[in-house]
Amino acid sequence: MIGAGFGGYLADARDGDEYAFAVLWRDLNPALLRFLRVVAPATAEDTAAEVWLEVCRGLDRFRGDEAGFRSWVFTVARMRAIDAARQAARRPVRPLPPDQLPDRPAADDPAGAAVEAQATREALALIAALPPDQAEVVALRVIAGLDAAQVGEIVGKRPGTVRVLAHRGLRRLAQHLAERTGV
Amino acid sequence: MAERILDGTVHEDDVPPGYRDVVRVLASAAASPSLVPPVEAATLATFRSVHRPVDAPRRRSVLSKLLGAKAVAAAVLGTAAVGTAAAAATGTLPDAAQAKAHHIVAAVPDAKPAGHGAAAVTSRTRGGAGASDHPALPGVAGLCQAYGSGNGGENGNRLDATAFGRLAAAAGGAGKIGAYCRSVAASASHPAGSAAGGKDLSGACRSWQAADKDGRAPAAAVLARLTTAAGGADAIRPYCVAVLKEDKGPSADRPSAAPSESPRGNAPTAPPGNGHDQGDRPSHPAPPTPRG
Repeated sequence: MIGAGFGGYLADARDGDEYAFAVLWRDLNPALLRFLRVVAPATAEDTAAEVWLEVCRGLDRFRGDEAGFRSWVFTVARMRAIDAARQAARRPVRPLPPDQLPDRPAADDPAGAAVEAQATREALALIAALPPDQAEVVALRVIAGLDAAQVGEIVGKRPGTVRVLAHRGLRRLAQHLAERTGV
Repeated sequence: MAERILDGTVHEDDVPPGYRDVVRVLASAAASPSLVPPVEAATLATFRSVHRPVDAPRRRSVLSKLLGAKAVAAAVLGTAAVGTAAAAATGTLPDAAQAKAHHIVAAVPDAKPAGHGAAAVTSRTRGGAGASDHPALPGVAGLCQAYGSGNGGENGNRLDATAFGRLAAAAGGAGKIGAYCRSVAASASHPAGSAAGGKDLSGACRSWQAADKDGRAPAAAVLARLTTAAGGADAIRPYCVAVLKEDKGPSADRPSAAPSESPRGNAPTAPPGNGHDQGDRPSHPAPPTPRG
Protein backbone atom coordinates (compact mmCIF):
# COMPACT_ATOMS: atom_id res chain seq x y z
CA MET A 1 0.00 0.00 0.00
CA ILE A 2 1.26 3.44 -0.88
CA GLY A 3 -1.19 5.33 1.30
CA ALA A 4 -1.53 9.08 1.43
CA GLY A 5 0.84 9.81 -1.44
CA PHE A 6 -1.00 7.60 -3.90
CA GLY A 7 -3.01 10.34 -5.58
CA GLY A 8 0.13 12.33 -6.25
CA TYR A 9 1.98 9.39 -7.75
CA LEU A 10 -0.99 8.49 -9.88
CA ALA A 11 -1.34 12.04 -11.19
CA ASP A 12 2.36 12.19 -11.96
CA ALA A 13 2.37 8.83 -13.67
CA ARG A 14 -0.50 10.05 -15.80
CA ASP A 15 1.61 13.04 -16.76
CA GLY A 16 4.28 10.65 -17.94
CA ASP A 17 6.49 10.66 -14.86
CA GLU A 18 8.46 7.42 -14.93
CA TYR A 19 9.51 7.57 -11.34
CA ALA A 20 5.92 7.89 -10.17
CA PHE A 21 4.94 4.99 -12.36
CA ALA A 22 7.80 2.95 -10.92
CA VAL A 23 6.45 3.64 -7.45
CA LEU A 24 3.06 2.25 -8.45
CA TRP A 25 4.72 -0.70 -10.14
CA ARG A 26 6.97 -1.55 -7.22
CA ASP A 27 4.09 -1.42 -4.83
CA LEU A 28 1.75 -3.66 -6.74
CA ASN A 29 3.85 -5.91 -8.95
CA PRO A 30 4.92 -8.43 -6.27
CA ALA A 31 1.29 -9.12 -5.32
CA LEU A 32 0.33 -9.20 -8.99
CA LEU A 33 2.98 -11.83 -9.71
CA ARG A 34 1.92 -13.94 -6.75
CA PHE A 35 -1.69 -13.77 -7.85
CA LEU A 36 -0.74 -14.81 -11.38
CA ARG A 37 1.35 -17.69 -10.04
CA VAL A 38 -1.87 -19.04 -8.56
CA VAL A 39 -4.20 -18.52 -11.50
CA ALA A 40 -1.79 -18.79 -14.44
CA PRO A 41 1.38 -20.41 -13.12
CA ALA A 42 3.02 -21.18 -16.45
CA THR A 43 2.78 -17.68 -17.84
CA ALA A 44 2.83 -15.48 -14.74
CA GLU A 45 5.72 -13.19 -15.79
CA ASP A 46 4.53 -12.73 -19.36
CA THR A 47 1.00 -12.10 -18.23
CA ALA A 48 2.20 -9.54 -15.68
CA ALA A 49 3.99 -7.68 -18.46
CA GLU A 50 0.78 -7.62 -20.49
CA VAL A 51 -1.14 -6.37 -17.49
CA TRP A 52 1.25 -3.47 -17.02
CA LEU A 53 1.08 -2.65 -20.71
CA GLU A 54 -2.66 -2.39 -20.43
CA VAL A 55 -2.38 -0.38 -17.22
CA CYS A 56 -0.04 2.05 -19.00
CA ARG A 57 -2.55 2.43 -21.79
CA GLY A 58 -5.50 2.87 -19.51
CA LEU A 59 -3.88 5.14 -16.96
CA ASP A 60 -5.37 8.28 -18.47
CA ARG A 61 -8.89 6.97 -18.20
CA PHE A 62 -8.59 5.54 -14.72
CA ARG A 63 -10.48 7.45 -12.04
CA GLY A 64 -10.38 6.36 -8.44
CA ASP A 65 -8.34 5.91 -5.31
CA GLU A 66 -5.73 3.36 -4.38
CA ALA A 67 -8.25 0.63 -3.58
CA GLY A 68 -9.89 1.27 -6.94
CA PHE A 69 -6.52 1.11 -8.66
CA ARG A 70 -5.76 -2.24 -7.05
CA SER A 71 -9.16 -3.54 -8.08
CA TRP A 72 -8.61 -2.37 -11.63
CA VAL A 73 -5.13 -3.88 -11.93
CA PHE A 74 -6.35 -7.23 -10.64
CA THR A 75 -9.37 -7.09 -12.92
CA VAL A 76 -7.02 -6.68 -15.86
CA ALA A 77 -4.80 -9.43 -14.45
CA ARG A 78 -7.66 -11.86 -14.24
CA MET A 79 -8.75 -11.16 -17.81
CA ARG A 80 -5.23 -11.55 -19.16
CA ALA A 81 -4.80 -14.77 -17.17
CA ILE A 82 -7.95 -16.16 -18.75
CA ASP A 83 -6.68 -15.14 -22.20
CA ALA A 84 -3.36 -16.78 -21.45
CA ALA A 85 -5.08 -19.99 -20.40
CA ARG A 86 -7.14 -20.01 -23.62
CA GLN A 87 -4.07 -19.41 -25.69
CA ALA A 88 -2.18 -22.14 -23.89
CA ALA A 89 -5.02 -24.54 -24.61
CA ARG A 90 -4.84 -23.71 -28.30
CA ARG A 91 -1.06 -23.78 -28.57
CA PRO A 92 0.37 -25.85 -25.76
CA VAL A 93 3.97 -25.07 -24.87
CA ARG A 94 6.19 -27.06 -22.61
CA PRO A 95 7.81 -24.63 -20.18
CA LEU A 96 11.53 -24.98 -19.65
CA PRO A 97 12.26 -26.33 -16.16
CA PRO A 98 13.71 -23.58 -13.96
CA ASP A 99 16.94 -25.51 -13.34
CA GLN A 100 17.78 -25.23 -17.02
CA LEU A 101 17.56 -21.46 -17.00
CA PRO A 102 20.72 -19.40 -16.59
CA ASP A 103 21.33 -18.26 -13.04
CA ARG A 104 20.48 -14.76 -12.04
CA PRO A 105 22.93 -12.58 -10.14
CA ALA A 106 22.57 -12.99 -6.40
CA ALA A 107 20.53 -10.58 -4.35
CA ASP A 108 21.70 -9.20 -1.03
CA ASP A 109 20.76 -12.19 1.03
CA PRO A 110 20.43 -15.17 -1.28
CA ALA A 111 19.99 -17.74 1.47
CA GLY A 112 17.31 -15.86 3.35
CA ALA A 113 15.60 -14.89 0.15
CA ALA A 114 15.62 -18.48 -1.01
CA VAL A 115 13.96 -19.74 2.17
CA GLU A 116 11.42 -16.96 2.03
CA ALA A 117 10.78 -17.51 -1.65
CA GLN A 118 10.44 -21.22 -1.05
CA ALA A 119 7.79 -20.70 1.63
CA THR A 120 5.93 -18.33 -0.65
CA ARG A 121 6.18 -20.70 -3.59
CA GLU A 122 4.82 -23.59 -1.57
CA ALA A 123 1.99 -21.47 -0.23
CA LEU A 124 1.06 -20.33 -3.73
CA ALA A 125 1.19 -23.89 -5.00
CA LEU A 126 -1.14 -25.00 -2.21
CA ILE A 127 -3.65 -22.31 -3.11
CA ALA A 128 -3.28 -23.07 -6.80
CA ALA A 129 -4.16 -26.70 -6.08
CA LEU A 130 -7.63 -25.68 -4.91
CA PRO A 131 -10.53 -25.87 -7.37
CA PRO A 132 -10.07 -22.91 -9.75
CA ASP A 133 -12.99 -20.81 -8.51
CA GLN A 134 -11.88 -21.20 -4.89
CA ALA A 135 -8.22 -20.59 -5.72
CA GLU A 136 -9.05 -17.41 -7.58
CA VAL A 137 -11.19 -16.00 -4.79
CA VAL A 138 -8.74 -16.92 -2.03
CA ALA A 139 -5.87 -15.40 -4.02
CA LEU A 140 -7.74 -12.15 -4.61
CA ARG A 141 -8.74 -11.90 -0.96
CA VAL A 142 -5.37 -12.82 0.53
CA ILE A 143 -2.75 -11.80 -2.02
CA ALA A 144 -4.40 -8.82 -3.64
CA GLY A 145 -5.82 -7.76 -0.28
CA LEU A 146 -9.26 -7.03 -1.69
CA ASP A 147 -12.50 -7.48 0.22
CA ALA A 148 -15.38 -9.75 -0.70
CA ALA A 149 -17.30 -6.99 -2.48
CA GLN A 150 -14.33 -5.97 -4.61
CA VAL A 151 -13.53 -9.58 -5.42
CA GLY A 152 -17.16 -10.08 -6.37
CA GLU A 153 -16.94 -7.24 -8.86
CA ILE A 154 -13.81 -8.68 -10.40
CA VAL A 155 -15.03 -12.25 -10.79
CA GLY A 156 -18.64 -11.35 -11.53
CA LYS A 157 -20.15 -13.00 -8.48
CA ARG A 158 -22.12 -11.78 -5.51
CA PRO A 159 -20.14 -11.02 -2.33
CA GLY A 160 -22.02 -13.82 -0.56
CA THR A 161 -20.90 -16.28 -3.20
CA VAL A 162 -17.36 -15.03 -2.90
CA ARG A 163 -17.48 -15.64 0.84
CA VAL A 164 -18.80 -19.14 0.42
CA LEU A 165 -16.12 -19.99 -2.13
CA ALA A 166 -13.38 -18.53 0.04
CA HIS A 167 -14.57 -20.38 3.13
CA ARG A 168 -14.70 -23.64 1.21
CA GLY A 169 -11.19 -22.94 0.02
CA LEU A 170 -9.97 -22.42 3.56
CA ARG A 171 -11.64 -25.61 4.74
CA ARG A 172 -10.07 -27.56 1.95
CA LEU A 173 -6.68 -26.06 2.68
CA ALA A 174 -7.04 -26.99 6.34
CA GLN A 175 -7.98 -30.56 5.42
CA HIS A 176 -5.12 -30.84 3.00
CA LEU A 177 -2.59 -29.53 5.52
CA ALA A 178 -3.92 -31.82 8.25
CA GLU A 179 -3.57 -34.83 5.96
CA ARG A 180 -0.08 -33.79 5.01
CA THR A 181 1.18 -33.39 8.55
CA GLY A 182 -0.96 -36.05 10.17
CA VAL A 183 0.45 -39.01 8.28
CA MET B 1 -13.47 -16.12 11.79
CA ALA B 2 -12.93 -17.26 8.21
CA GLU B 3 -13.23 -13.69 6.97
CA ARG B 4 -10.66 -12.54 9.50
CA ILE B 5 -8.31 -15.29 8.42
CA LEU B 6 -8.73 -14.13 4.84
CA ASP B 7 -8.17 -10.54 5.91
CA GLY B 8 -5.03 -11.64 7.69
CA THR B 9 -6.11 -9.78 10.80
CA VAL B 10 -5.98 -12.76 13.10
CA HIS B 11 -2.94 -14.30 14.74
CA GLU B 12 -2.33 -18.01 14.36
CA ASP B 13 -2.65 -18.48 18.13
CA ASP B 14 -6.20 -17.19 18.00
CA VAL B 15 -7.64 -19.67 15.50
CA PRO B 16 -8.84 -23.24 16.00
CA PRO B 17 -5.90 -25.68 15.92
CA GLY B 18 -6.90 -27.05 12.52
CA TYR B 19 -6.52 -23.62 10.96
CA ARG B 20 -3.12 -22.65 12.31
CA ASP B 21 -1.31 -24.01 9.30
CA VAL B 22 -3.82 -22.29 7.05
CA VAL B 23 -3.00 -18.96 8.66
CA ARG B 24 0.70 -19.66 8.16
CA VAL B 25 0.25 -20.66 4.53
CA LEU B 26 -1.85 -17.60 3.75
CA ALA B 27 0.71 -15.35 5.46
CA SER B 28 3.41 -16.84 3.25
CA ALA B 29 1.27 -16.40 0.18
CA ALA B 30 0.68 -12.77 1.05
CA ALA B 31 4.36 -12.11 1.74
CA SER B 32 6.53 -10.50 -0.88
CA PRO B 33 9.74 -12.39 -1.37
CA SER B 34 12.49 -9.82 -1.13
CA LEU B 35 13.96 -11.16 -4.32
CA VAL B 36 12.40 -8.81 -6.83
CA PRO B 37 13.19 -9.74 -10.42
CA PRO B 38 15.04 -6.97 -12.23
CA VAL B 39 12.47 -6.26 -14.87
CA GLU B 40 11.78 -2.72 -13.86
CA ALA B 41 13.83 -1.29 -16.69
CA ALA B 42 11.76 -3.22 -19.20
CA THR B 43 8.54 -2.13 -17.58
CA LEU B 44 9.61 1.49 -17.64
CA ALA B 45 10.51 1.20 -21.30
CA THR B 46 7.00 -0.03 -21.91
CA PHE B 47 5.60 2.82 -19.90
CA ARG B 48 7.68 5.30 -21.89
CA SER B 49 6.60 3.92 -25.23
CA VAL B 50 2.93 3.94 -24.33
CA HIS B 51 2.73 6.94 -22.13
CA ARG B 52 4.75 9.72 -23.64
CA PRO B 53 4.48 12.87 -21.59
CA VAL B 54 2.67 15.38 -23.74
CA ASP B 55 3.85 18.49 -21.98
CA ALA B 56 7.45 17.59 -21.31
CA PRO B 57 8.98 20.89 -22.49
CA ARG B 58 6.76 22.98 -20.29
CA ARG B 59 7.33 20.79 -17.29
CA ARG B 60 11.06 21.03 -17.68
CA SER B 61 11.14 24.75 -17.82
CA VAL B 62 10.77 26.75 -14.66
CA LEU B 63 11.26 24.44 -11.77
CA SER B 64 14.10 22.36 -13.07
CA LYS B 65 16.06 25.35 -14.30
CA LEU B 66 15.62 26.95 -10.95
CA LEU B 67 16.73 23.84 -9.16
CA GLY B 68 19.53 23.26 -11.58
CA ALA B 69 21.15 26.60 -10.94
CA LYS B 70 20.68 26.71 -7.23
CA ALA B 71 21.55 23.14 -6.55
CA VAL B 72 25.09 23.69 -7.78
CA ALA B 73 25.51 25.96 -4.81
CA ALA B 74 23.99 23.31 -2.64
CA ALA B 75 26.50 20.78 -3.89
CA VAL B 76 29.43 23.08 -3.11
CA LEU B 77 28.22 23.92 0.35
CA GLY B 78 27.64 20.28 1.01
CA THR B 79 25.87 18.72 3.92
CA ALA B 80 26.51 21.62 6.26
CA ALA B 81 24.04 23.59 4.23
CA VAL B 82 21.29 21.07 4.57
CA GLY B 83 20.32 21.98 8.08
CA THR B 84 19.72 25.59 7.31
CA ALA B 85 18.09 24.97 4.00
CA ALA B 86 16.01 22.53 5.85
CA ALA B 87 14.92 24.87 8.56
CA ALA B 88 13.83 27.30 5.93
CA ALA B 89 12.01 24.64 4.07
CA THR B 90 9.90 23.56 6.97
CA GLY B 91 8.59 27.01 7.68
CA THR B 92 5.19 27.90 6.44
CA LEU B 93 5.39 27.36 2.75
CA PRO B 94 3.00 28.33 0.04
CA ASP B 95 0.98 25.57 -1.42
CA ALA B 96 2.41 25.37 -4.86
CA ALA B 97 5.17 22.85 -5.01
CA GLN B 98 7.19 25.13 -7.20
CA ALA B 99 7.24 27.70 -4.48
CA LYS B 100 8.25 25.07 -1.97
CA ALA B 101 11.16 24.00 -4.06
CA HIS B 102 12.12 27.60 -4.55
CA HIS B 103 12.16 28.18 -0.80
CA ILE B 104 14.27 25.17 -0.13
CA VAL B 105 16.88 25.99 -2.65
CA ALA B 106 16.85 29.69 -2.06
CA ALA B 107 17.79 29.02 1.52
CA VAL B 108 20.99 27.30 0.56
CA PRO B 109 23.32 30.20 -0.26
CA ASP B 110 22.74 31.68 3.19
CA ALA B 111 23.76 28.51 4.88
CA LYS B 112 26.21 28.72 7.72
CA PRO B 113 28.27 25.63 8.33
CA ALA B 114 27.75 23.26 11.19
CA GLY B 115 24.24 24.20 12.20
CA HIS B 116 22.62 21.75 14.53
CA GLY B 117 20.49 20.61 11.66
CA ALA B 118 23.59 19.50 9.84
CA ALA B 119 24.66 17.49 12.83
CA ALA B 120 21.31 15.84 12.89
CA VAL B 121 21.64 14.96 9.26
CA THR B 122 25.12 13.60 9.36
CA SER B 123 24.73 11.73 12.61
CA ARG B 124 21.68 10.01 11.33
CA THR B 125 22.05 6.33 10.68
CA ARG B 126 19.47 4.60 8.69
CA GLY B 127 19.27 1.33 10.63
CA GLY B 128 16.17 0.48 12.59
CA ALA B 129 15.20 4.08 12.85
CA GLY B 130 11.64 4.50 13.96
CA ALA B 131 9.36 7.11 12.53
CA SER B 132 9.76 9.24 15.61
CA ASP B 133 13.20 10.42 14.59
CA HIS B 134 12.15 11.89 11.29
CA PRO B 135 11.45 15.29 12.79
CA ALA B 136 15.18 15.52 13.39
CA LEU B 137 15.50 15.98 9.66
CA PRO B 138 13.55 19.08 8.83
CA GLY B 139 15.41 19.58 5.56
CA VAL B 140 14.37 16.24 4.33
CA ALA B 141 10.78 16.94 5.23
CA GLY B 142 10.94 20.03 3.06
CA LEU B 143 12.57 18.21 0.20
CA CYS B 144 9.97 15.49 0.48
CA GLN B 145 7.27 18.07 0.36
CA ALA B 146 8.67 19.47 -2.83
CA TYR B 147 9.40 16.04 -4.16
CA GLY B 148 6.15 14.28 -3.57
CA SER B 149 3.63 17.05 -3.20
CA GLY B 150 0.23 15.87 -4.25
CA ASN B 151 -0.62 19.10 -6.00
CA GLY B 152 -0.57 17.27 -9.27
CA GLY B 153 0.93 18.76 -12.37
CA GLU B 154 3.94 20.86 -11.72
CA ASN B 155 5.60 19.40 -8.69
CA GLY B 156 8.88 18.60 -7.16
CA ASN B 157 9.41 15.29 -8.83
CA ARG B 158 11.65 17.33 -11.02
CA LEU B 159 14.14 17.73 -8.22
CA ASP B 160 17.49 17.71 -9.91
CA ALA B 161 20.32 15.29 -9.28
CA THR B 162 21.82 17.06 -6.29
CA ALA B 163 18.64 17.61 -4.37
CA PHE B 164 17.54 14.14 -5.31
CA GLY B 165 20.86 12.75 -4.15
CA ARG B 166 20.48 14.34 -0.77
CA LEU B 167 17.05 12.88 -0.43
CA ALA B 168 18.26 9.50 -1.59
CA ALA B 169 21.10 9.59 0.94
CA ALA B 170 18.68 10.33 3.75
CA ALA B 171 16.30 7.63 2.57
CA GLY B 172 19.03 5.04 2.26
CA GLY B 173 18.75 4.62 -1.48
CA ALA B 174 17.01 6.17 -4.43
CA GLY B 175 14.47 3.40 -4.51
CA LYS B 176 13.41 4.09 -0.95
CA ILE B 177 12.60 7.76 -1.35
CA GLY B 178 8.91 7.24 -1.84
CA ALA B 179 8.46 5.12 1.25
CA TYR B 180 10.79 7.32 3.22
CA CYS B 181 8.98 10.50 2.33
CA ARG B 182 5.64 8.98 3.15
CA SER B 183 6.93 7.96 6.55
CA VAL B 184 8.27 11.46 7.09
CA ALA B 185 4.86 12.84 6.23
CA ALA B 186 3.20 10.23 8.40
CA SER B 187 5.32 10.92 11.43
CA ALA B 188 4.68 14.61 11.01
CA SER B 189 0.93 14.22 10.99
CA HIS B 190 0.55 11.15 13.20
CA PRO B 191 2.88 11.17 16.16
CA ALA B 192 3.16 7.53 17.10
CA GLY B 193 2.11 8.08 20.68
CA SER B 194 -1.21 9.55 19.76
CA ALA B 195 -2.39 6.27 18.37
CA ALA B 196 -5.54 5.48 20.26
CA GLY B 197 -5.49 1.85 19.42
CA GLY B 198 -8.78 0.09 19.53
CA LYS B 199 -8.96 -3.59 20.27
CA ASP B 200 -9.65 -4.13 16.65
CA LEU B 201 -6.17 -3.11 15.69
CA SER B 202 -4.29 -4.90 18.42
CA GLY B 203 -4.89 -8.23 16.69
CA ALA B 204 -3.61 -6.79 13.46
CA CYS B 205 -0.64 -5.37 15.31
CA ARG B 206 0.15 -8.68 16.90
CA SER B 207 0.06 -10.47 13.60
CA TRP B 208 2.18 -7.72 12.08
CA GLN B 209 4.74 -8.07 14.85
CA ALA B 210 4.76 -11.84 14.51
CA ALA B 211 5.40 -11.53 10.80
CA ASP B 212 8.04 -8.92 11.44
CA LYS B 213 9.77 -11.13 13.98
CA ASP B 214 9.85 -14.06 11.60
CA GLY B 215 11.09 -11.82 8.83
CA ARG B 216 8.01 -12.42 6.71
CA ALA B 217 5.98 -9.71 5.11
CA PRO B 218 2.63 -9.29 6.84
CA ALA B 219 -0.62 -10.09 5.09
CA ALA B 220 -1.74 -7.47 2.62
CA ALA B 221 -4.90 -6.68 4.55
CA VAL B 222 -3.04 -6.25 7.83
CA LEU B 223 -0.59 -3.99 6.11
CA ALA B 224 -3.37 -2.01 4.53
CA ARG B 225 -5.21 -1.50 7.81
CA LEU B 226 -2.13 -0.61 9.77
CA THR B 227 -0.73 1.64 7.07
CA THR B 228 -3.93 3.59 7.16
CA ALA B 229 -4.11 3.63 10.93
CA ALA B 230 -0.46 4.52 11.47
CA GLY B 231 -0.36 6.95 8.59
CA GLY B 232 2.36 5.18 6.67
CA ALA B 233 4.06 1.83 6.29
CA ASP B 234 7.18 2.96 8.08
CA ALA B 235 5.16 4.23 11.02
CA ILE B 236 3.58 0.86 11.77
CA ARG B 237 6.29 -0.35 14.15
CA PRO B 238 6.04 2.52 16.67
CA TYR B 239 2.30 2.66 16.14
CA CYS B 240 1.87 -0.98 17.08
CA VAL B 241 4.14 -0.60 20.09
CA ALA B 242 1.86 2.20 21.23
CA VAL B 243 -1.31 0.27 20.48
CA LEU B 244 -0.22 -2.86 22.28
CA LYS B 245 1.14 -0.94 25.24
CA GLU B 246 -2.18 0.79 25.54
CA ASP B 247 -3.94 -2.51 25.10
CA LYS B 248 -2.21 -3.95 28.13
CA GLY B 249 -2.56 -0.73 30.07
CA PRO B 250 -4.57 -0.22 33.26
CA SER B 251 -7.66 1.22 31.61
CA ALA B 252 -9.43 -2.09 31.15
CA ASP B 253 -12.79 -0.45 30.67
CA ARG B 254 -11.85 1.24 27.47
CA PRO B 255 -14.73 1.48 25.02
CA SER B 256 -14.55 -1.73 23.11
CA ALA B 257 -13.51 -1.91 19.51
CA ALA B 258 -13.79 1.31 17.65
CA PRO B 259 -16.16 1.01 14.72
CA SER B 260 -14.21 -1.33 12.52
CA GLU B 261 -13.25 1.05 9.81
CA SER B 262 -12.09 -0.71 6.74
CA PRO B 263 -9.50 1.29 4.88
CA ARG B 264 -10.84 0.09 1.61
CA GLY B 265 -14.46 -0.44 2.45
CA ASN B 266 -16.52 1.79 0.31
CA ALA B 267 -13.98 2.93 -2.17
CA PRO B 268 -15.56 4.06 -5.37
CA THR B 269 -14.05 1.79 -7.93
CA ALA B 270 -13.96 3.26 -11.33
CA PRO B 271 -12.09 1.30 -13.93
CA PRO B 272 -11.45 3.21 -17.08
CA GLY B 273 -13.99 3.01 -19.80
CA ASN B 274 -14.22 0.27 -22.29
CA GLY B 275 -13.26 2.05 -25.42
CA HIS B 276 -9.94 0.70 -26.50
CA ASP B 277 -8.29 2.40 -29.41
CA GLN B 278 -6.35 -0.66 -30.31
CA GLY B 279 -8.66 -3.15 -31.85
CA ASP B 280 -6.07 -5.89 -31.75
CA ARG B 281 -6.39 -6.66 -28.10
CA PRO B 282 -8.91 -9.03 -26.64
CA SER B 283 -11.59 -8.18 -24.15
CA HIS B 284 -11.18 -5.31 -21.77
CA PRO B 285 -11.77 -6.02 -18.11
CA ALA B 286 -15.13 -4.34 -17.86
CA PRO B 287 -17.38 -7.30 -18.61
CA PRO B 288 -16.29 -9.89 -16.10
CA THR B 289 -16.25 -13.35 -17.56
CA PRO B 290 -16.82 -16.12 -15.06
CA ARG B 291 -14.17 -18.75 -15.30
CA GLY B 292 -15.53 -22.13 -16.27
